[in-house]
Amino acid sequence: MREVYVLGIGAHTFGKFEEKPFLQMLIDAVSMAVKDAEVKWKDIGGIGAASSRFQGGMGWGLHGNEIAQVLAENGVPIYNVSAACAAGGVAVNAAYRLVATGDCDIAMAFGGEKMPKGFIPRPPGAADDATDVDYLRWTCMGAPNTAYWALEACRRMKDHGTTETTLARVSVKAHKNAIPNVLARYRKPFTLEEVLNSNMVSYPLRVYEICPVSDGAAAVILGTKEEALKRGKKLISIVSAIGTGQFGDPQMRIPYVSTSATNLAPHTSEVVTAARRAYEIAGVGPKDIDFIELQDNSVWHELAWPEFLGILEPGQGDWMLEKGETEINGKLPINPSGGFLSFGEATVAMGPLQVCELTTQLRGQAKERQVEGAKVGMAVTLGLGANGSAVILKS
Amino acid sequence: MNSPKQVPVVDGLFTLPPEGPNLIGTKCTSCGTYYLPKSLSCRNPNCEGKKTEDAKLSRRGRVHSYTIQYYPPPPPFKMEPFEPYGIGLVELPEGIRIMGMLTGCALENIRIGMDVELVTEKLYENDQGDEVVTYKFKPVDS
Repeated sequence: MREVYVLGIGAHTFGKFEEKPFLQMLIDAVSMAVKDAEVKWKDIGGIGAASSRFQGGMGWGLHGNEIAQVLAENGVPIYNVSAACAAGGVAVNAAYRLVATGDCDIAMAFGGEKMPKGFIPRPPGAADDATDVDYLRWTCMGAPNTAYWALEACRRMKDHGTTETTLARVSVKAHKNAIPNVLARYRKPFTLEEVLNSNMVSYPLRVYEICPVSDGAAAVILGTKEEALKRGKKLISIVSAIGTGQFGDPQMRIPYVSTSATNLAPHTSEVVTAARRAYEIAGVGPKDIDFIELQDNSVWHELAWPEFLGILEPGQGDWMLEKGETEINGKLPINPSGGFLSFGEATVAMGPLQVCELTTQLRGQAKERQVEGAKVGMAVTLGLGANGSAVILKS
Repeated sequence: MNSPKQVPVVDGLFTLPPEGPNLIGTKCTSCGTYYLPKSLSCRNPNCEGKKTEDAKLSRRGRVHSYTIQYYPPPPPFKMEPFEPYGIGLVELPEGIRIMGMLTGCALENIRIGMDVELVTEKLYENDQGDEVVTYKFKPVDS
């Protein structure tokens, strides 16, 4: 396997863009990445494209083909990948592997999504009977996604003494980081009181402690060391790994109504599996990670995931946050971008967006939110169906 | 006056009194893993048997975690009248944890570690005047 480097990044601001066509958002992100990488379309030898659920793709998730047919129809292999909210991370993995295996010297990955207003509708073709877990979680108990995260958060309060105040502080910190980030949707400070006074959605999680939904798009261009050097790029290496869930994982997976009590596998095993593979390929351990971007669907994720990934000890997340050690100038900055609490979730755009943030940090171009001296950054995503992805970038 | 007829909110997941209530899942005939709802096979990667049979799950369990749902979930959920309710993650002796609504307990008294038992309770009344019921977990005196 060859070493792979980040040549270019591009991201569309996250938010609500009702008037803007979805394809235009993708074109904007992809074009920015091409420009940033200083590559020509004819140089791109393969594409990893995330299949989004709500927009485009000709009904088959053919988002890579759509981009090729509008920007450059050059006959290259296109992997359209479906992995729900992890699809962006899996698309990065496809591009990474295209370059690492020697299939091509430069590859692109991208993902974009426009989310529907209000509640996410039930998937088309659902069975609507007792075999359909998504039907059961709604009809039998009315369990939205927030209820699943709340079950994990409530158990954490019991196991580690996490308080509602600590949960709220995660949100305060996330929004503070986003203030200078032009790509973020919410860029105003939230006080602890505002978060604690926001409406309870699924106890113990309040509305300012869960990620909203957004529209967004992001793209990255990866290449060999030679291609990076040729363009005078600062060398930023990337490894990418993906994983799926394991039998015996205690996570209460969306949209199931039961889970295992055996603890045969690690919690959130799809993400942990991907991360462990990434550590191995990158030749680093969890303690070598300088900062991390993680998919904070709720404030609980930010406390628990670094522990699942072996970066922190079980229960240490609360302490690190309370001591300010997860702030941009702390020992382990978490989501210096502001995270998806500040961006809003644009499903398949999240994986590439995280790579954009890690790259910006490692290039030393993050300005007010720069993590000083950062050399090793990590990012992880989680998607429906127990899909996980992890990247580790080094400068 | 006859009490209204009860119908389950979904067929084939749980039985009603007087025989029930019981949640009906499956058990792998080779490795013994339990599933809810019924599983067509066994997802244990170390199990080569893959044959499952219907199994009644235990009525009693213990609250492993819980949440309280404060805003009305969207359709197809239906509950009349809506009021905030607990959802428990209940551990059964079979080595499986089940999500279900909680009842018979003030919201502020819900605790992790509570012993609970399976009951059925009305969600709403349908157009025929039947009570549409779901399964719930209710605290038991330990």
